[in-house]
Amino acid sequence: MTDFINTIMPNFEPLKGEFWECFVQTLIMIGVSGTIAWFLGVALGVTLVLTRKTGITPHPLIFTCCDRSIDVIRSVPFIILMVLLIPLSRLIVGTGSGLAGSFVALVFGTVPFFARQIEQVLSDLDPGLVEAAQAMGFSPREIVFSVYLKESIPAITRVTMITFVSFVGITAIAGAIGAGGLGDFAIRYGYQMGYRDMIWLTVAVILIMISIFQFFGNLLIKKTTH
Amino acid sequence: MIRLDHITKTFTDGRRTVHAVKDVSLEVRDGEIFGIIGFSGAGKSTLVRCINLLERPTAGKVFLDDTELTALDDAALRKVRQGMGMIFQHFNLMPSRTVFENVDLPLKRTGMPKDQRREKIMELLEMVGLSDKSQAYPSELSGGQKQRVAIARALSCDPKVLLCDEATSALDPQTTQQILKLLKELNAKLKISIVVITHQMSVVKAICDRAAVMEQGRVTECGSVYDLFADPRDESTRHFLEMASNVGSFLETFDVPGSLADLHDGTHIWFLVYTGESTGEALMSRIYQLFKVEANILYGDIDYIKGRPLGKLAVNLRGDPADVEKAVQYIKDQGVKTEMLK
Repeated sequence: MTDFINTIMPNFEPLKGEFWECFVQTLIMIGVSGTIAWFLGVALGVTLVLTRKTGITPHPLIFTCCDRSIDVIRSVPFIILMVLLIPLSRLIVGTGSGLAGSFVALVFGTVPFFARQIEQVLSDLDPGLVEAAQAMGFSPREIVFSVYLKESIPAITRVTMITFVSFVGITAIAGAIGAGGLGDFAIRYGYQMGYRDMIWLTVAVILIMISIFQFFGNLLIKKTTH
Repeated sequence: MIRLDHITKTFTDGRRTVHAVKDVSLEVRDGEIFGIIGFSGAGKSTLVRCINLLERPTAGKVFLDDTELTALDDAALRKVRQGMGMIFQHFNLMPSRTVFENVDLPLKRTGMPKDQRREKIMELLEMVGLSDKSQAYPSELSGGQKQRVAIARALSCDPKVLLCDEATSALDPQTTQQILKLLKELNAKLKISIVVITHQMSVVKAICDRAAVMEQGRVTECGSVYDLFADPRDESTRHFLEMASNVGSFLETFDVPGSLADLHDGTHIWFLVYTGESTGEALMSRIYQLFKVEANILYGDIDYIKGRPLGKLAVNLRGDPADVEKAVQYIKDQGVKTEMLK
């Protein structure tokens, strides 16, 4: 087995430890920033749907603020956004670089995109369901949790999977501010050192990660669609 | 029970304003089935939403018994809404929940213990005839079954009022009859007041005690269903009734040249509306015996509203003009509403 690995990936043996470290960094970025971004994105998407003119609790000021912020942040390319957010990151997590320094940038880079998709998903929900819940005397809070979110689980899962793919993409870019991760590994060894086998390894690992995520996503969609 | 007091609802969309409901006042009595009928866009759906304040009226007050709903804050209003069930044209069942869970939805919030809820839900499903479907998802049900689930859900908090917004409009005629029958049974059994919004004349005829006719945001006429059909006082009510029944298509033939070509010159077409005991055909044979006036029946229709017959005839009376005049007078004397159409 070891012989086989050494044959197809001659550079793997000495870099094994570093590769593993980078893989864990990517998992941490996904785990921490991804989870925070997911909740913030859902919250922002729900806010947009509730406060818009036709929503159940219209509030033009909040809506316009959220709506514009999303557009502004989304129009900044991620690599520039990262640099732009360094002061904010110092303020929140105490550092603007390294793994911890990537969290703020990753959250800001994902939330607007994800929130828009959540907004779209919730807007697609049959307004009759919301009306029925209102007629039953549900409060806005209950409508959010037991109608908007509960009834949209398959669609939310779908957009989570879509966002996950592009999120993995930006975690690779985060390597540029020293966050490490598989992207950083691929640049250093695959690009700067020219180890083709390490590029292939990185691609394979990322593909497997995304496939596993999508497998569970699809399973959840299947289970919750009736 | 429910009282609407000068309700007005105006929608503003940019520069465009739509007056959906204009100054409507009506009362729904305890335990009755009240119909609101009119063409699409007449403002019926907006009006029914003003009852449970899904739409807040621009002006006017809504009372449920002695409570002024329009004066309540949101929390109090939500409490009141639990006591008002509502069903919809497109059922609005939660697709990710089973029939059982859908009916449980409003109950869950009441804090009732689980086993008590289960008993209640099975009782409700039994009542609407769906006890075997409790674990099915809405997508597995037919339209009629979905509406039954919606009815069970609407009744789960023992409401005093059930609002039905075009509840049978998406159903086929046979299923419509079944749902109407169910509503009528529930009305009798639970003493619940039902407000029915519909554009289908047959629905009002089949189950309503009283009804209001709406046109362009206004209630043009309101009264017992029989009187409404037998003797519409308002021009637009009459127009609606004509459009929604066979009389409409008969009257349209007047405008088609040649369609009534065999009419004898100098004769007229009379439209007769008779109620209760007098029957049209006996009348026609009697005027022949008495006045030698021949009646050529061009249109005839008998409706049974709440078991009372309501007949409509269009006849071409032929005979000596003086005799025809006497015949018409005779018909009028029998208590038949008579009108010369042509």
